Amino acid sequence: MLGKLIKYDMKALNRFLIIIHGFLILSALAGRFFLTNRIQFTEFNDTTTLMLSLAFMLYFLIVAGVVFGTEMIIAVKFYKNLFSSEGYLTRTLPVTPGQHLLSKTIAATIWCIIDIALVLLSMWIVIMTPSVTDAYNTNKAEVLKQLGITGNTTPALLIAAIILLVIIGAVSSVIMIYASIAMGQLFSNHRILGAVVSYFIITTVISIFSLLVMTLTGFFADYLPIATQNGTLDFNFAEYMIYLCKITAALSIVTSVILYIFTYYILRKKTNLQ
Amino acid sequence: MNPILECQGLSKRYGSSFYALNNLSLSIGRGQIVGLLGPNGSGKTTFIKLINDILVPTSGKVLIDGKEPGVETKKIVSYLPDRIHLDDSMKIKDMIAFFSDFYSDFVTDRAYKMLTDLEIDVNKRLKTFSKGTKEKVQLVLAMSRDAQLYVLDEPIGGVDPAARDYILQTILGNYNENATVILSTHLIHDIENILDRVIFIRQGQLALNATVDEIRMDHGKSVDALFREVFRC
Repeated sequence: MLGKLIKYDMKALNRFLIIIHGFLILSALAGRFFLTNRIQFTEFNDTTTLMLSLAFMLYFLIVAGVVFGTEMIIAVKFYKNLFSSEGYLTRTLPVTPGQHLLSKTIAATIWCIIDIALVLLSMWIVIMTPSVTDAYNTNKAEVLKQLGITGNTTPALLIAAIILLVIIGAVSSVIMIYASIAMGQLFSNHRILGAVVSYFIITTVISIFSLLVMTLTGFFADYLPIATQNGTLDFNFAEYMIYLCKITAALSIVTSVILYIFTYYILRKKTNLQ
Repeated sequence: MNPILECQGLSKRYGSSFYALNNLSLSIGRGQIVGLLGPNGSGKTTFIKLINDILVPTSGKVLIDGKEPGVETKKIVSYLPDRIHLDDSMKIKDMIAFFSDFYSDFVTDRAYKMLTDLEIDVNKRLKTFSKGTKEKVQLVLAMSRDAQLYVLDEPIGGVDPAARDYILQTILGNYNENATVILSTHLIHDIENILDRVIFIRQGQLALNATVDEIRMDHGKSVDALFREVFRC
């Protein structure tokens, strides 16, 4: 049953998400061929700088739009499928609420990972022009050293860490969306508005909680003062990022487990369709 | 054998004080067509939603084949809600595939046959159809299952009289002898001839539970006439 559910949940997401991600890749290709491919580092003037800034601004707006759009579609499909009139069919299938939640979490997580991968791919397309790769290759050692990717911290390790973090990030953002929508159902009226309010409440609570954890574990004490005291940027960027990632990952896992259980409880016990 | 449907002290409260259903107790046996009748707002749809796990009771319980609503009851109950519950961007044939994927008692050939009879093109998306046709599609999907209990909320409310006849024939023709059909409607006159039993609900409470024959014998009236008398405004 779970397999069938995932199949249909993926199908429901595919239609819109394929379209907007197709648009993302197309605009990245356009940016590459009409703009970044033509830039030479030797000839900079005010016009090219201005054009470049505008184009990058537009590009980042598109990326932000696609990422936000993906999350919105995931949210809307979850809401429609379970809590609108479509819920009358979904909720009368011979399937447990736990299977519904697991299926929708898996389907949306897969799409979130695809989304992040395609955003990275599009950035690669736009930025990594031959002149940039040339510049990188000639100064490779220096760049890696400046980023602190030396010794034990190899680029491969860093990439593995990023992939792991992307997966954790994808799962936790999906669960956060679902928990907000489920929490919105506890309102007797205005349940969509309730979901939006819930989202802000959940994110605020988590931010405060993370800030507390970071302060208590000495994150700020260990890393931030170094840069200010010496006046130079004397800290290891990669090491800092890895430390940050560890904390974020641990926090995401903990909050996701809590929110998942919370969502499951609401689906199981509390919901009355309107 | 358990009665197919039983409820004990079933109540559903909306808000802090309004009871849509108030302490309803009844039992319905197998192999009959039951009309669930009552004026607007009497609690018919609330009752149906409780049977289908769309709502959670405030108190009391409802049992289908002796079990509380859940995965096992959903396997044997075919539900037609009072609204369009299908994703209307889907093609009809994809919906048929969806139903047959999830309901092991779904008979695909029967669905195709009925849709052909009603001249509905299965390759079109649901949103291209009129409201009445969408309702027909939903009814076809509901009646294409070999369920033990069919719960049909206003199955004929929105369709034309010709299709109404076809639908009633479909209901009569498709259910097997041990299955029970519960249908709610206020178009009593149209369905009176196919009913075995009627349940009148008034303000969330049971007003009458009798066979059609008993009504004719005891009251010397048709169900339609009795309904008008009981619920006179």
